[in-house]
Amino acid sequence: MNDRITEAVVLAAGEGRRLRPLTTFQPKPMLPVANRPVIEYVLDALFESGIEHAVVVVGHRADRIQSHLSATYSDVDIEFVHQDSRLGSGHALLLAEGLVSGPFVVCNGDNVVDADIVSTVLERFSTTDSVATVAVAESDTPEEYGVIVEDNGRIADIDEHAVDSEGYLVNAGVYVFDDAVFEALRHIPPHDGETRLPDVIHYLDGNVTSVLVNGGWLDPSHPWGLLSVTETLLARRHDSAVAESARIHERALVGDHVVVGEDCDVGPGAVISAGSCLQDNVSVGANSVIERSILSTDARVGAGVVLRDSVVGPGATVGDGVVSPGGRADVILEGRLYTDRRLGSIIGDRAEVGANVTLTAGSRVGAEAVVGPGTVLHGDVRERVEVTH
Amino acid sequence: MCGITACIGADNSVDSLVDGLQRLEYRGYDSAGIAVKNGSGISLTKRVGEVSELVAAVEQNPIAGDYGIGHTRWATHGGVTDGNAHPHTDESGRIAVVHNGIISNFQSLRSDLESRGHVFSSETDTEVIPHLIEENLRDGATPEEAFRAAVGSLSGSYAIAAIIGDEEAIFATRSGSPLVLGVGDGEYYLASDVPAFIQHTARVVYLHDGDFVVTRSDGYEITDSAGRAVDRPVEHVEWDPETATKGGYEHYMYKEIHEQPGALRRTTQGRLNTHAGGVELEEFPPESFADVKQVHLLAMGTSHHAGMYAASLLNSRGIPAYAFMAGEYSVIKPPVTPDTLVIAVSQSGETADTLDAVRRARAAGARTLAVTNVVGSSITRECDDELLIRAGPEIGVAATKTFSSQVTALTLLTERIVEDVTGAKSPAARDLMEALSRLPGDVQEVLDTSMAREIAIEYEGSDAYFFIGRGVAHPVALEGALKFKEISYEHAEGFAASELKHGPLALVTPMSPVFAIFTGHDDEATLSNVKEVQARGAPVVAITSDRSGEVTEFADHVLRIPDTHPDIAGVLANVQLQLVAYHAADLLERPIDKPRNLAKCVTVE
Repeated sequence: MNDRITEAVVLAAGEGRRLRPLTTFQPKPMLPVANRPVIEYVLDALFESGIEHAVVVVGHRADRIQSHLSATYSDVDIEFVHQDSRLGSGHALLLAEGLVSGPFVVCNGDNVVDADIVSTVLERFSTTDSVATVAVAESDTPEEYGVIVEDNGRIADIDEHAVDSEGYLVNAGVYVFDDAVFEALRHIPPHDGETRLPDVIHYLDGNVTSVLVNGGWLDPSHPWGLLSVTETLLARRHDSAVAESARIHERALVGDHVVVGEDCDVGPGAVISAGSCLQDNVSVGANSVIERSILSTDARVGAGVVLRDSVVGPGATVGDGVVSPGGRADVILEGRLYTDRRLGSIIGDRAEVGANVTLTAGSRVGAEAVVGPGTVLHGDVRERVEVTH
Repeated sequence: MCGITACIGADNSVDSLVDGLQRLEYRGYDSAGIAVKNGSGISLTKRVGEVSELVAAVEQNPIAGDYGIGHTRWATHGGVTDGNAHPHTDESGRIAVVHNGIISNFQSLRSDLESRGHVFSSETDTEVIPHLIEENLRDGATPEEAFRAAVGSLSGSYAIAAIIGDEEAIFATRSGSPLVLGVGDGEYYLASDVPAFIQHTARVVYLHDGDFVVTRSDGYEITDSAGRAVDRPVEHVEWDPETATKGGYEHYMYKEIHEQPGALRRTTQGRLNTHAGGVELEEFPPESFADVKQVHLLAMGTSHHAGMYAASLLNSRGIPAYAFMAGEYSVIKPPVTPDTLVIAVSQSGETADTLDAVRRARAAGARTLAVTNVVGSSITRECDDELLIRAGPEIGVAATKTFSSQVTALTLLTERIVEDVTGAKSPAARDLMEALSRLPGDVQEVLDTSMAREIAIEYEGSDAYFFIGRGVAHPVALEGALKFKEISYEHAEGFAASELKHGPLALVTPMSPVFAIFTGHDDEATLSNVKEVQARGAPVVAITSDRSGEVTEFADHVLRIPDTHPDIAGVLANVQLQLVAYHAADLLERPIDKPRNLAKCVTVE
């Protein structure tokens, strides 16, 4: 293990169904956290840790990831592999066989990690007699993750379906494996037609070690997670970052811990407060209040709008006087109930929300759906449907 | 019409040359070759076919050298044979030359040389150059003097690189064909275009016509034709080498189609003021065009369609505007006055026909403005002003994102001109600016939702494909047909919708689908044309934002575009047609990035 590890596989093929409708047209690794797609944090962490060659496994809406990364990471060695059908993370890694060799890092493309985490995992792998090392993190919502069953720093199991787990260590989705993983992956029995990478530890011949990483690991896998991860990252910077080409009216107020992208337009009297992000080419009308919310590229927000703890998808239109007051809600994602989560509303790509609509806490508007003026919305509007008052 | 490379001082000249040629293949790919100099002399390898054939040949019979020259060819003089492939040498094999362009007096030079006993081994115009150098050397000239004297007797257009005898140097010059110098760390490169060496250095010197450059492993020297030193700035190029790779896409064309939202954001960045409903062009402040009375747009191919698009916008706003094929401009000699603004549109900025037309316009006293994608290209030096479209490098031979960016940049320019000439913003300005601001997202929507592949499958095997539109949709129809024919090799024609019943309708049958473009302006008239072709049994594919109206009702299939301003709807319709052409060609397994007989930028007339 004296040779430096310089290769990595990034798993970026997943659909991110829990983040619908934001993932209808965008893959989850491309969702913006503080105006940067999640996968950029992953790649930065890898390249800062000495990785020189990254294989990115893409699937759902692959073109978005490919176009973005080939423009943004032009000076580093990134290779793409396509996972054409949804066969799970284990299958995804198997597609990288032959493209990486020797020990290599594997990361989820949809969790924020930093270079410390990658270095810590590499260090742990190199200094122990391991066939694999898994990063684990403490979590106050372990039921949302694969829970680690540990035995003296070695992993005995990763329980993806822990219901009443007493453990609070969860799989942070950063691994080091050697080539033996590919053979082991072939033995994993599929669950619901998908092979899951964490199951591989049962089929590896040797020690699987773990290492605790805290702080740098952030998971925006749920809508509230996207908002809180964004808030956390923005809180680390002291001021706001407003692009030079953005036009902020002199009577608008852009608070600290906010980012505003290129060509944005913020009207008079508008207030953009901490934890909010405006991606490129977003417009916010007069006297609108944007609190702890994400407005994606090309979003158009009218005058007198209030958006709290909410996400507006790319190209979506929010009419004058729309109110999304935020609060706490019980939300069902992929058939699972999450209670009492801090969440306003989620508006999908290119959806149109008419004037004076009220979007209650936890409501979601599907991509390209239309909500007529004055509607009070509870729950979900499916994509491409029209709802009127 | 070819690509040339040269390098000196690099660790492995063969790899650098071959790699550079692969990145220049868009300039031509019917044969390729390299010549490298080592202790025992010049080693030469050349092969008919794509650069990959050359790579295979070099792998089979390795050659090595400390410096050398390379060439990828697109034949103009002489057939596609190993013998006609570059580099060319003299009889002694001590001089090797690569050349891009046309030597117009080569016949007389060749007869003279032959009468003096020179034996030619190819049919090319280029081969006169090594023989001329050899004669001068024999007369006692130094290699540099011999090179200069040989170039001095040439007429025509050329970029030339040569290695001569034992002098450890590369000699090069340009006149009318592109040549750039890459300045690395103890290594130097010459090439027709920056991508050839961008992986080695981002520091670039754009050579001017008439410049001579001698590069050695310890530096370079640029002089004019009289031998006086000239100072050319070293510029830093922002192109990234990997931007010119396929990024996981199967073809450059498909990648570039998907890059359009980003390209358009760059085209419009900082140039739109949606508040004021106007444009803000750093290059052209208000009043820049106050004295313009008429506009000529000069271009070829896809750029010409962008020129026609802009002419349509200008005319509809009361500014007389004419789009010319640049190759015809010098022939028909339209009247040019000092208040004529000539806008030359060229992706590469090296299109020979367009450069020639610009020179003609300038000589006649017109003000000239280049709209191009390439910083420092020849056209930016030939014109008084320039507007960059900022689309990023385009490698696919079939232009895609540059058309969208050209139309968008020209639309911005149009608003500036209209405002300056008429003294007021056009009535449409505010809506149009808002539509332009939404354009990148609208293009993304087309990419996300297009049914183009299904349409391509549905109509595979048809006899012919027709494209119709009126107003700005007319050039889009022409562009849709051009894209379709150039990569699928199927018969495709574009027409003004009104033109159909004056002849082309005779071609329309149930086996010739008609793609009808609706922009939201004069749609009723185009709908009548649709009914005419349907009456002849032809299936109709409508490209429209109409969701439930008459167009959708009458069309056999619909390719939907987002609802936008009619003046810019053509860009969205064009993206759908790009996808149709791509998928049709893909189904036929055509070599999409390198269609037969074509090259990316045509630097010969």
